[in-house]
Amino acid sequence: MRNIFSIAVGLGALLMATMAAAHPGHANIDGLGGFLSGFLHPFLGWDHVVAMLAVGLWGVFLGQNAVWALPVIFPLIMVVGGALGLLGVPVPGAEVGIAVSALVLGALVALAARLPLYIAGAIVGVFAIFHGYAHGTELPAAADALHYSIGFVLATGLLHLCGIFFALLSHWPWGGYAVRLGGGVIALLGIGWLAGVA
Amino acid sequence: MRRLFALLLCCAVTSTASAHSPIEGVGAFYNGTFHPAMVLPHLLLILALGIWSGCQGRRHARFGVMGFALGLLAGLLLTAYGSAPDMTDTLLILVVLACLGIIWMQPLPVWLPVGLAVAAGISIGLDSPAEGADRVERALMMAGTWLGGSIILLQGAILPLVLKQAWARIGFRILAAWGAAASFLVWVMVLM
Repeated sequence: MRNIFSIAVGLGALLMATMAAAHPGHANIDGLGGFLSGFLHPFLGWDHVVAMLAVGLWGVFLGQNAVWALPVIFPLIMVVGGALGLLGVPVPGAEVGIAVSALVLGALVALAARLPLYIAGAIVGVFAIFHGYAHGTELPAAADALHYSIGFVLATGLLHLCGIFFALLSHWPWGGYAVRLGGGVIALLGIGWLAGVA
Repeated sequence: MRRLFALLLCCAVTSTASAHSPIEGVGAFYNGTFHPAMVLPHLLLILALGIWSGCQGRRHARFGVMGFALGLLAGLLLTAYGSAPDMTDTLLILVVLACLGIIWMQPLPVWLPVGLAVAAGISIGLDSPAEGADRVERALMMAGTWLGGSIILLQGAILPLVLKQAWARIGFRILAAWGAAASFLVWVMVLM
């Protein structure tokens, strides 16, 4: 009963994430408070959403330490990209990097790739810089920087948790295929963004 | 299931909270009590510190709460004698340190979290100058701030002592990572 409840909560949260508008780019929402603006920011771009989900999915596949290690490594390295965005240091190809992150992370989940944790951390860290740069360029325009930051912190943490909950389905034989299929969809979305189609 | 039902029942029977005390003169005290919860950097720091102390164990939590309470008292008293400096960047760095401590999750000597708790208490106290028409009102506000901040820290410290499951530790680490990231980004912005 507890497992079913956990799955139900996880799927509910996942549905909440997927109901986000497929808004391209990273536009601020005029008229909203700093917190709401920050909270909605990760949901406004499918590229952010799927990358966060993929990190959670892959962490569960890799094993117990990776479940928390990847969602921890991501923001700690993301800060570097965020600081670069704040300081106005150009990071060429950030949007391409974000699209590639969806492709690569999705493919790794689809292939159920079990890499050593330090390699997985390095891959996630590299992509985190691009995501951080995108957030960092938006931060100065936010009405209240700290509330904005806390908002997108909660939102991205929720997306990681959604990915983790979804990946828990892999405990069942059919669940593993469902998770890998999800990874495949994420990878295809990444290809679409790179091609400029999606 | 019984606890969940009891919790829902308690939520259903609570009456509307009153933000201001009807007793004249006690308003300043209540304002002070709510103050740490209303200032986001303060709330973040106190919660991060509490969770870190609790993750380290009962002894660390006990000394952490005591150290914070003493530091907060000292900081508040210092504001009575001079103008309060802007502690924003200090508070943000302390949040980052406390969050990194949560992520580390390994046993640490007790002086480390306690030292950070004292520093945090002093910083929050300095950043919470009491406002009021007279000394009595200011004193009441300071007392309320001290009590409110200490209670929030205690609640933060109890949380990991109660939630010892692996999933709870994972959740603390993930939230701490994002808390550190958000605070560091804002700190960079403050420095610019």
